[in-house]
Amino acid sequence: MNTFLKLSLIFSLLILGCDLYPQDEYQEYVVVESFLVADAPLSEIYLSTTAPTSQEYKFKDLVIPNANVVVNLLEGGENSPIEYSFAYSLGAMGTYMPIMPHKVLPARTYQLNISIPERDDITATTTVPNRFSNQNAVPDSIVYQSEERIEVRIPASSIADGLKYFIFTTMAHEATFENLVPTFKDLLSREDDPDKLQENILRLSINNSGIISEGNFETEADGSLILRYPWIGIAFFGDNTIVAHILDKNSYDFIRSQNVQLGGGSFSAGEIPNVIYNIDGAIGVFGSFATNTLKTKILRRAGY
Amino acid sequence: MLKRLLVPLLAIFGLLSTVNIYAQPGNSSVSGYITDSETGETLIGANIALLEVNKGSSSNTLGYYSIPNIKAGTYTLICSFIGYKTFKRTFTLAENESLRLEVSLLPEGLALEEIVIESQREIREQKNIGTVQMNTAFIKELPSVFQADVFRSIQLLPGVKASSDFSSGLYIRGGGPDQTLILLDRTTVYNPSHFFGLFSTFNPDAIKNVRLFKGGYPAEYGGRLGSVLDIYNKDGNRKEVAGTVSLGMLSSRVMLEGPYKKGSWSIAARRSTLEPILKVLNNMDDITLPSNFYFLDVNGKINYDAGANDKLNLSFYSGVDVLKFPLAEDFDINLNYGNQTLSSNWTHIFNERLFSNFVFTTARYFSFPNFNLASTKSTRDNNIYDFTIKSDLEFLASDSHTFKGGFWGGVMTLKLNDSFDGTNTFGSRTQSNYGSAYLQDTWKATDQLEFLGGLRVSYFSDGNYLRAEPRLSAEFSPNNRLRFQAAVGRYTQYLTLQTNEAFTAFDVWLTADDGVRPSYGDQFVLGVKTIPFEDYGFDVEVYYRTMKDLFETDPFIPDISGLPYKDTFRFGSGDAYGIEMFFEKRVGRLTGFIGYTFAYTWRKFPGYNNEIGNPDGPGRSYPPKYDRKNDINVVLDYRLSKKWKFTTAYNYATGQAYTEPLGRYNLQNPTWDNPNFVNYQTFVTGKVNASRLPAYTRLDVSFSRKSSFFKLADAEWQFQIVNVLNRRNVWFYNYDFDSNPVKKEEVKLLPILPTISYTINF
Repeated sequence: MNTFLKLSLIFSLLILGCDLYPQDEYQEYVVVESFLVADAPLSEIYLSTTAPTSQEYKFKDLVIPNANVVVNLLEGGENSPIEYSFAYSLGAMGTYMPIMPHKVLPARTYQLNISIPERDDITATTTVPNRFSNQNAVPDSIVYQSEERIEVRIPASSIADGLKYFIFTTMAHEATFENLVPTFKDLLSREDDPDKLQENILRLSINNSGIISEGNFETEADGSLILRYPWIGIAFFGDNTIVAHILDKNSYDFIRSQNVQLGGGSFSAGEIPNVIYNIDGAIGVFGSFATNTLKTKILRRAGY
Repeated sequence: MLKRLLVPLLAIFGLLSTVNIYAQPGNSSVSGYITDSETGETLIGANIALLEVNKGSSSNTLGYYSIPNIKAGTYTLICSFIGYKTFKRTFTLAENESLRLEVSLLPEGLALEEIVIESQREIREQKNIGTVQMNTAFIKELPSVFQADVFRSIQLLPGVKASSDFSSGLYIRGGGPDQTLILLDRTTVYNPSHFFGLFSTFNPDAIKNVRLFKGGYPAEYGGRLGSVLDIYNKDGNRKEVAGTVSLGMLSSRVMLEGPYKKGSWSIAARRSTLEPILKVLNNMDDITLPSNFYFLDVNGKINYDAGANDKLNLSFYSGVDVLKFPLAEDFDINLNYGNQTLSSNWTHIFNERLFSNFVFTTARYFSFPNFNLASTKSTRDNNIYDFTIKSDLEFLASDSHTFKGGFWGGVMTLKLNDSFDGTNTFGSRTQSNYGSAYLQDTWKATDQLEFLGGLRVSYFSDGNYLRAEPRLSAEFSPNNRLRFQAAVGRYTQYLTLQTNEAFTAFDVWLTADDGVRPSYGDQFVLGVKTIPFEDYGFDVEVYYRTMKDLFETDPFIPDISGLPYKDTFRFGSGDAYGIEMFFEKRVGRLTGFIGYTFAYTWRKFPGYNNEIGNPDGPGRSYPPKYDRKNDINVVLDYRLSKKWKFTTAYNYATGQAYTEPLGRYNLQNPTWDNPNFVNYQTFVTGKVNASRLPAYTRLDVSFSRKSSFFKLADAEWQFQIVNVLNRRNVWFYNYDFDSNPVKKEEVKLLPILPTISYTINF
């Protein structure tokens, strides 16, 4: 009988031509942005509001200046008591800076509390990934596309407690057109506009791998992970710095869902989901990383 | 709900069946094959009747018919089929005689004023609930994008939608492409596309018959939640060697067929012919084009008539798409994907009451995309191997009962291996055993009332799933011009397809398993089929269907490496409902149809499409992109003269669903990214797919002229203009973040597109 009633209702609505699924109206949200990095000083917190897509976006016009911002180091997990509180104050460029210095502790949970007059309170927690080391020595220089490779070896102890997700960022310190590796040089040489060419070189000078699961790495008998850094990640000859990031859940959720908004994933063209947020009372991200940095010089191969 | 409905119905059905089964009025019979008199090709769905006793039947998928339980006497047999002259013969049957009467139908000529005579029973089989039958002549005559295409012709039918001009994918009654079982000579085809989905793999020259079950399909089919597309290759000309050569702008085709001592054969090949254009364009500066880009397919079939009661055939299909695209120095993309099928079929007639078919099939789908960028290679080896054995038995128990039963068992191997930079990043090999068996009874309770009830039981080894799928349909025909129909059924699906509607070359099929339950759904269909005037038809169908336990790869997972199988999916549900109307004129100088669909389709995945601030909510239902509320198709075919013909197709549809970004913000310091470019720009959207693109409109026209090829063979020129009004329909919106405020840009579908082709028939 219920099904009959449901069907009757559905077809009645069809006949009446009602819009069964109207679009929402724009609503303003508070946006939080902060990424803690293990063993690094507490980072700044950006607090702003969203803007309608039809309006020009200027961050400084959207900053929320009158918030009370505190980051708490918790004794244990998410719901454990506060061990220490770090107050923040509004700094330059509309960002909130910690008043007291503090080095972020790996494998610990931090809680963000923000109160803004006439708005909902904002809370979020992040558990900072454990620090990790590279057990392999990275050579001072490597010939591009040679047999020798940049290898990262991460001990098993650093990657306990579930599947880890990485992002690798490569920073070239000698980013010029002449120093581009052949593939990118060929692609960029098609740009006639010198300003755009320079812009593209600047874009390539710092690039990242996107999210990579530890499942992609080779696992040694002792459980440690081996990553051979692919040549695709190197855009310039010369000195390069590679930063490996391990992502906490909040960063992973934010980055993976933001990526699909711009066409990644298997969504149909035009189906744009909202980002996955792990924050109460606002949108944005309160996330954390653990990082490890390598440096090497990429030498030209004979003929390049 | 379905169980509550079907259990008593089936019980009553069985009880009544038992009562009537022995009520046999006679013990003689007439049976045989129905064929084309010019080619010897068997005809599927031709109608046959004995005039004096108002008893009739239609030929099955092998062209065989049987009318049992006839008293001794003299009868007039009438047989009719669209496009053929009515066959009429008088014969006398003795007591206990089983007469074998082969029927050869003469094709109609193309005389200008000629009207094809049809019996009122003519289209019964094609007009069963949820069923559409399409002949290949119709497919070839329709205006089409570059070349005649089976799927694009089907997309014109009510209830069937296209995702875009660039896709031949079938979206039927709210289901995605994976919810339609596609069979070629009883073999499953897993990726029926060429050129990344622009065309379907089926060469219209090689095809004899296309039958689409849009919904409420009977128990003899299974494995998909929504619909079945059953395609049969031509057997081959049994009278003489004949052929067709067709030259088109995108592809060319050749088909040969002929007889041999014990049967017939046919072979058809098709290949794209883009190379000359690519060569010219490649010589131009500033254009990077593929160095190699083609598709090729071959269909073949050989029939062996082992005796009057035994026929064997072997048919195959092999198709491949190849792309080699050097984009820059040390940067190239290669793609190689396709399908292969092999089907060996044995038809045996035990007697005039018992007919059987045994078939062994193999199907393979492969896709090997890879790229090399700066000596970093990424490869994928994606293979499906499917070996099956099927058997169907049809038993004409009495005047009122026709039983059909069978089984379908198989072993399916899915292999998927990914590598990146020489390291295997993902490897999966699953071998699934599956099987199903069904029993169904067509019960003609009275001259006006007929039921088709059945039960299908299916098993899938991964996860050890056993499912029962009851089906029931009924038809009441108060007179020859009116049929009321209803169908209800449960459908189960053990597979899901990871695909992209714009690009099908990377399709990956995945199976149910432990923790990944098979999808299932119920379908309810009501229909009215009428003949308001002679030679016209007007049909209405209303449907409602559910989709439960839908599983699909989680689109938010950027990298599945290391995840347990069940964690790579998201699970949801859906439903779809609508009304379809179909008005047609089937014979005469002007033929064609108007199809209209009013429909809704919904999907729901927990945690998806929640309101911001409620991330753990149950998820709100939303329409998939291909949902269209209104969809009108008009197809007209007008014979201007003995030589000239005009065909047109017009489509209007509600714009597709999309998500309107409402707000935005930018991350200020994404530490893993380039600080010189604040490109972590983020949308705040409203409900998923709650906005609509502008309505879609397209008018295509085609003129064809019959001629002679140096008086050696018949020939035909075909001049077509796709999108003759040059209306630039919108495919989707692209958002340009480099502009501030964000700029919305339209990505458009096909412009006006003239094509020409030349076909020689010899």
